[in-house]
Amino acid sequence: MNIRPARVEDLLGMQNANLHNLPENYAMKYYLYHGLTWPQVSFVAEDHKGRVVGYILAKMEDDPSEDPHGHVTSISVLRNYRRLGLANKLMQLSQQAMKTTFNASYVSLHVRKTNRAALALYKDTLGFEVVEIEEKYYADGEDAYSMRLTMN
Amino acid sequence: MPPKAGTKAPVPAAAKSNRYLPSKEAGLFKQVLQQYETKEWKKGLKTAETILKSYPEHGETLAMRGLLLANAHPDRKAEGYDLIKEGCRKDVGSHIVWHVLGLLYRSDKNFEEALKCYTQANRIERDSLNILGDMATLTIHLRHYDAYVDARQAILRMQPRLRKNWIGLAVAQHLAGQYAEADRTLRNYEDMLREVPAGEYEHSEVLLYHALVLEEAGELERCIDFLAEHATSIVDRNAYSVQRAHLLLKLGRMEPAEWAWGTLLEENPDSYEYIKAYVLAKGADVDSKTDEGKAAAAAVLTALTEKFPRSLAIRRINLELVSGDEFRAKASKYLIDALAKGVPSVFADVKSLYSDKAKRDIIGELAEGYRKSLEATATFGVSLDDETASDETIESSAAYLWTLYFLAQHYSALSSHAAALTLIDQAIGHTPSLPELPMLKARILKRAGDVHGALAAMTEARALDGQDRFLNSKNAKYLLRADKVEEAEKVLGLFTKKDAPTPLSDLIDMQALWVLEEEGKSFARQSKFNLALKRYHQMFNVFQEVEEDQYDFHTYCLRKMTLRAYINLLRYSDQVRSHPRYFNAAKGAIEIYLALHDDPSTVVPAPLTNGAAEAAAAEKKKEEEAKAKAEEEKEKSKKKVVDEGKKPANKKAAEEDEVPPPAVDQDPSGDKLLATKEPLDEALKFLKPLEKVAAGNVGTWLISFEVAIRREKYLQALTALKTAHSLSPSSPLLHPLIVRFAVFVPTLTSFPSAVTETLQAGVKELIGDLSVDAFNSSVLQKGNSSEYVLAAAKGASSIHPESKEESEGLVFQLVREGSDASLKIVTEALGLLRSIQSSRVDEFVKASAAKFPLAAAFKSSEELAAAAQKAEEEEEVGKEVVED
Repeated sequence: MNIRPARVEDLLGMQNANLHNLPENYAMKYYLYHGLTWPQVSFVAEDHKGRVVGYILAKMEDDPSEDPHGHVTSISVLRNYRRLGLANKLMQLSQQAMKTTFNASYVSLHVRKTNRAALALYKDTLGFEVVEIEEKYYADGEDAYSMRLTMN
Repeated sequence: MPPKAGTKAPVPAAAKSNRYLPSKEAGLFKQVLQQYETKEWKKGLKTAETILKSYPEHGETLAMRGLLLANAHPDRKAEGYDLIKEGCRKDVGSHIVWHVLGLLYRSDKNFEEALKCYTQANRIERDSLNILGDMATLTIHLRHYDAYVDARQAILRMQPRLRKNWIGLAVAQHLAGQYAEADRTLRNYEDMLREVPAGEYEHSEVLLYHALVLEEAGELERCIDFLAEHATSIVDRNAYSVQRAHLLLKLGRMEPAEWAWGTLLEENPDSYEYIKAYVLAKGADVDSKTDEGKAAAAAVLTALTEKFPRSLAIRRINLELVSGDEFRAKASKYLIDALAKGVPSVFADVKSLYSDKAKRDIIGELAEGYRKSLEATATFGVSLDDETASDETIESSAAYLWTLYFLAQHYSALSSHAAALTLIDQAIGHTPSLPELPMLKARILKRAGDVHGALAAMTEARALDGQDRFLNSKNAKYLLRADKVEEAEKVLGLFTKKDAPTPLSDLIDMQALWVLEEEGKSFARQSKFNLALKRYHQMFNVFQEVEEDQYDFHTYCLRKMTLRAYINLLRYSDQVRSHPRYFNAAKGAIEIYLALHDDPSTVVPAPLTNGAAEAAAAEKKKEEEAKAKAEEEKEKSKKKVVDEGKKPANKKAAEEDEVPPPAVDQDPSGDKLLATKEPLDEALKFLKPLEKVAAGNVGTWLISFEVAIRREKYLQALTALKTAHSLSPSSPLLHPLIVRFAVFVPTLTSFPSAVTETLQAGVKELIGDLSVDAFNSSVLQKGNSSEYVLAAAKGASSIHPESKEESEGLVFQLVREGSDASLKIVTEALGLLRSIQSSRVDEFVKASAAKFPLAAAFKSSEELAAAAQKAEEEEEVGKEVVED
């Protein structure tokens, strides 16, 4: 697998992977917004033929009242491409970029309370911790765990 | 931005008098402009109408009335346009009327017309930044690079203190290919800046953009010096290091290049870019075509693997380069690592090596060896490195399972469907709970042509994990392949937004191209051509949306200074339709339009009584309900704002609030699309972008030929054939078209001789000195491949439409003992026999069924019904499990 920073031409492939994998989806404009505001912090994994099989779509939170920190909008790997450690590698690269380019001290993300598989990935594999529960975070009324990983 | 009544350029006295309003009405006109700006369209309309009562000829008011009308009542937009145009006629010297017309065109995404209006407004009112800014955005959106430079220069002259105006000019110059000027503008800008805070992101982005300009200008030495000079101000360290490393390589400074790429590999040893560049710095090349070159690159990669043992990318690239025993040893380690870990993708990963038959055989032997050894001793049974004679690690039973899984894919890829099925069934027996296994079984059956069996297996896979959207998507895809559209949408609906009117409407909003394409193809197979066209048009619209998405970024990126990404966006947007899904949409739609042209009676809308039409009607109804609900919500929220006496938090929020709900689709089932009287013009709309951005794809020119010949543009048809020929001289798909054209050209007797002579000369270029018959047979000498046999059969059917024997004879070769024809080729051959109304169709179906016992295409309707019944029963089982 080839792992590298995402470029504008990868965004449709990321959108396709996201639509196949996850219930939270976005129109291209939102991907473009990420790619054209913080082009450094999103990454893709592609197979030997150049198809996107995993991605991390990330951004920076620039609330001046808080320390600069990154936020993972979406991360996923196609089911057939699991057990290669891709999510971990994508997350590492994104964090590195958040830190060097934007001075981020931590990275946050949200996950549906019922999404046990994702929760396990963030907690056990990637080392995130639950900070709080955000009630009715999702459009359908479901609560979210707000999670955070401090960078060393 | 609404027009503003600013200072006006001197205008002729006559026009001036036309524009004059006494102070009361002049005040009202200002109010109209304001009401437009605050989006109080209905109020604005009333105010404008008050003015027009006394001054019915007042051009600017007429124009504003038209604009307000179009905004307040989208259904009366045409009337709005008429009013504005009348306003333009009454007062051609007013910049306001042109600005207003430009605004409406722009909101309709008619950027060409909008730009004409803005240009006119700008001519009259040179000093309006408002007009100039919008005009600049339109010029770059339409890629008028030189005009963009002019507009940016004018803006900079008016506001030289704004950073973004300097950057805007530099970008314009860069895009126009004026590298030296862009460089100078950026240098001036950098010199002008004082006290940039350390580590400022925007400044860092500008510096990296400047470096990009220098590199694209070929100023490599200056570029690398520039980077060194500004190294401490650049915060995007990765971009800095990568560009510098590329420059070192381009400048031939191999030692520092090696060091630079080596450092980058430490950060990410799985980047193909880094790996390939490192090899280049070492004086070798992974893309080398010679044995020596490959060996040299392999040696570098082997050494690199020692350093980065966890990088799969390095090892995978190396598998391309090594051969023989070295390949066997490296492939074995690669496979065992993956199988022991249970990596499902390892077969997909190595499959592209199968184009090399020797590698394919080695991989097959290795995997068979693992299976036998795991069965006998629970070890892979081969030495993993040179020190140990044999590896005695006892593997878990999972390793055996993944080996079976791998082998099943191996045999499926070799079209040994029965062997693949035996293996996957064995694996399922071993571990019935793993969704990957029935998922693979579905794929094997699909390849064997058994759509219903494939669907049943995929339904089973989804039942094993109802929480997983990936399995859900695959199940929906297989339902669509089996033409069960309604059920597919139900399955998809388990994961779409609950508040969307229908699952499909959410998927369309989310631009789910794969769903649209699969539905389009399914509807086409079911002869529901209206709905198929509808889906292909929806795909077309998605690509148009993506192209139009760039609009806001023309100004956004100048504020954010993310200029390298912006340049990428422009280049990407220019060729976004080269995406394979656009090609498929275009091909699907054009085939229907061609059929519609050839014989409209064969292409009729699906009858109204069927489920799909009902679904379409239901969709429209639901959409209308949703729209009404949205309106209601909006009213409520507006009231709330008024009640609380608060203004919306910011202007942007207010704008969003006022955006009218999307119009209800008036043609949800595509009947109007299918009712077109100009199918070839419609076909052209899909084709034109392909000729531009997919000109390197033979398929583009095959379609282009079919459209041109029906439009009686024979020179264009010839050009299409010649272009296809230059791209792929031995394309089996092109061959029958050349034959068809060669047969056709001599029948053109009523054309001017200049044209027919060109056509004849062109044909001769394509077929040489051979007769058409001889040319057609010559394709068989290009190898015994079944594709060429089918090509010759198609050719023969155009040469001898009256006698079917030759075509039939050729086609039957495909199902002979020992033929290697694929299911796809044989299915196409059956289509040919049917189209020439051969009497041997049944015989051919029988022979095909013997060759492809699982394929639905060669089964009788009774057999199919039985298979569908069986699949349905299994699906029921699946549903129960999900509901658990």
